[in-house]
Parts: sequence; C-alpha cells; structure tokens
Amino acid sequence: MTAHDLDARLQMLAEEGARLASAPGSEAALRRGRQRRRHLVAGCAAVLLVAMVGGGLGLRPLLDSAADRVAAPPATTSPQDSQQGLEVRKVTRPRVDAITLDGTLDGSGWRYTLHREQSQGKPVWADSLRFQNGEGGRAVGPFFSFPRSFTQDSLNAEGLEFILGPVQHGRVPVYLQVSNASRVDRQQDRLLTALVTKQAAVLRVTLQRGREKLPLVDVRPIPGGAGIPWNLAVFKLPAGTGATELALLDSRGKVIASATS
Amino acid sequence: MTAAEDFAEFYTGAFPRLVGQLLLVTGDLHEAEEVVQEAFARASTSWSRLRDYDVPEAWVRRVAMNLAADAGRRRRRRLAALVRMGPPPAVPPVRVEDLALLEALRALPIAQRQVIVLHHLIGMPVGEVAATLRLPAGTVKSQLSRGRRSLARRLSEQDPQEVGSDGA
Repeated sequence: MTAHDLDARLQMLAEEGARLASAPGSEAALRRGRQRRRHLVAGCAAVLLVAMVGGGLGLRPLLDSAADRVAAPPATTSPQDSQQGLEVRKVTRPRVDAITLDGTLDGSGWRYTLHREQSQGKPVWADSLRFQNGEGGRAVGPFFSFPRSFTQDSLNAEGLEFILGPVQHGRVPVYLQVSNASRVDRQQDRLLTALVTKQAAVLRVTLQRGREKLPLVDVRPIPGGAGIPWNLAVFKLPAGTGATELALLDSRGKVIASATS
Repeated sequence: MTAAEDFAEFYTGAFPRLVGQLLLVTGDLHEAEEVVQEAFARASTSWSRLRDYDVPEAWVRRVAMNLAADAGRRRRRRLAALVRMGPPPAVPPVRVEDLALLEALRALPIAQRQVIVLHHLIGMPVGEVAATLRLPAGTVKSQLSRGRRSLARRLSEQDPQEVGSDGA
C-alpha cells in the first residue's frame, strides 16, 4: 500500500463516517455551550463565596483602602514582580516537576502549588491555591483551597479560554489559564494565577471598575523551571475591579496572544 | 445573517466532515460524534470571535482532537453517553475493507492515529501537524513512519517501506 493508497482509503473511510454521522443539531450544541458557560460562572461564584466566607472568618479584611491600591504602574514602565499589597515571598522547588509559591495578599498568607502527579502515559498536573489563616503571619493551616488537575492537552483545550475567550497565536497554542477570575464583582481583592507560555515575558492586564478603564498593569511571570512546561504569573485583582483583557508580550514587547472577557 | 444562523450554517457544513475525520482517531462513530459535538459546544461560546477566523473548522478540529486524546474524559463521556442515550442506535454496516482499515487504525496508539489523520487525510504538511499537536517535527515524522508501517503490517499489504515514499 503506497502513501497515495493510504490517503485514498482514509478519505473513503472518512466520507463513510461523514455519511453515517447523525448530527444532534446546532441548537443542541448551543444549549450545551450555554450550559457549559453556566457551569463556569457557577464555579466562579463558588470561589467568590469561599473567598467571602474566608474573609469573614478571619482573614485580614481585604477591603481597606482598596481604592488607593488600584493605581498600577503604567504599562510603559518596566514590569513589576509584585504589586502593592501582593507579595511573592518565596519560591520553592522541591523537585524538578513541582513548584510552590508562598506570598501575602494584603498581609494574609497564601500558597500556590503546582506539581506533576504520578501517572502513566501523559503527565497529569495538579495545582491548588490555599489561603492561610493566621495572625501576625503565623500559618495555622490551610484555610481553603481550589485544587484542580489537568493534562497539558486538557489545559490546552480549556486553557484557550479566558472567561470563555479563545487565545491563540497563529497555529501555536498558548497556555493561558486563569483561575479565580470571574465577571462577578467582588468586594474583596482577589488573587489571579495564570499558567503562561514560556515565550511570554510579560502578562499585561487591563482592569476595569464599572465602566472606568484603569491603568494597564504588567506582571512579570515567575519561571516554572526546567521540569514545568509553563511559567507562572500571579496578580491581584483589586476589589471591585474586573480583568477585561489579558495579553502576553514577548521580551521585545510584542503581543503574542491576547484575550478579552 | 445572525450569529446563531451563521453558527448553524457552519455546524451543518462541518459536523459530518469532522465526524468522519474524528472517526479515524477515535475508532468509534458515537465517540467521534460526541467529541465533535462537545467541540462545537465550546465553539458556540466563543463564536463571535471564531467566526472571524480564516478557518474556524481548524479550531473545532483541534479541540475535538484534544478531547479524543484524553482517555479519562473519554471514559466519562462514554458513560454519560450510555446513560443519556440508552442502547446505541443501529449503525449501517460499513464495507469490509473499511472495517479492516478501521480496525487497523484502532490498534495504533492515538498519537499515531492523530498524525496519520492530519497528514494523510487533512493533507497537512509535517510542520503544520507538529504545530497543531505541539510536537517536534521529528516526532511527527517518526510517528507517521511507525504508524504507516504498523498499518501496512496489519493490513497484510505490500512492503511497508513503500508506504512513506512521499517524503514526509
């Protein structure tokens, strides 16, 4: 069988499959899409609820003088490694395929972990974001967490979305996964974590409060290291604001991918 | 034309074609329909943006390919499909030679099926297959070579070396 024969036979088989296909209909796809959107929004709302409960139960109130902290460095200046009120205090690499970030959000401790799980076949990754309850920086224990697990493929499919929007740069998939971001207006500062392609030197965030556009904020990703296929960006969404656009910039400042909500 | 009408037209035109292509990757018609439908559902949520793409079908195909490759989701989808649909509807028989090719494809690792379908059926050059699947071009070439050899062996056809003479 020559390559040409193979092409022809595959073509015939695919045509046969197309002939036999029974389409549930575009309405069914639209319904499923709407359902999927509702699930995403519900998931974000659940995160909001947990965050609000956490705030009420002992995390340092995150609302105080939030308006003063909104002012972000202009996008034309050099990117910031941390924002005012958000600090990445420690980066730990217990092994090549794991990384832990410890930091504070307005004085309260948080921990983000990403590691490769033991699995056969394709690597499965797991990450979680935990806030710690404590006084004076003393960690009492995990307060709440948002664990999830994914493969690079599924992240690719899912990660092409920023609040439902696909991101791509030509035909090169761009990993831009945002957790804890939602359209829901929150009355607290929120932490946004993103897995970004290693091509990206800067994650640029466009913030909006109501109809008012706020100054662009540039965040410099933290290197994931050799064993992790992404870099990590951590960012604070100040209370009452929403991220309306994310853009990944390369080292020359050229936009390599962007997404809007 | 409204966005919904536009999407419906796109869906009607592309759905059967994509199911035919994904059939070769999943080896199962219902599974192919399911991943393509899910990919269209995802496309529907971003249709306002996707409709402006040169080839929105390529986006849907890539998502469907990713879904097909995810074994865990595949199991869950099959279960969900069984629960939802009950016994599968009767599928008209395919020709014996098609069945043999389908069986031979099904025996290949899914990564080999993906590169074979993208290269031989869709007609993508090796570089484009590599970009779509995020694999090095060398890996795509070796997967193609192994897949074709394996197919030829299983189909008990001619000299496997003959398959691959297109310089891929």
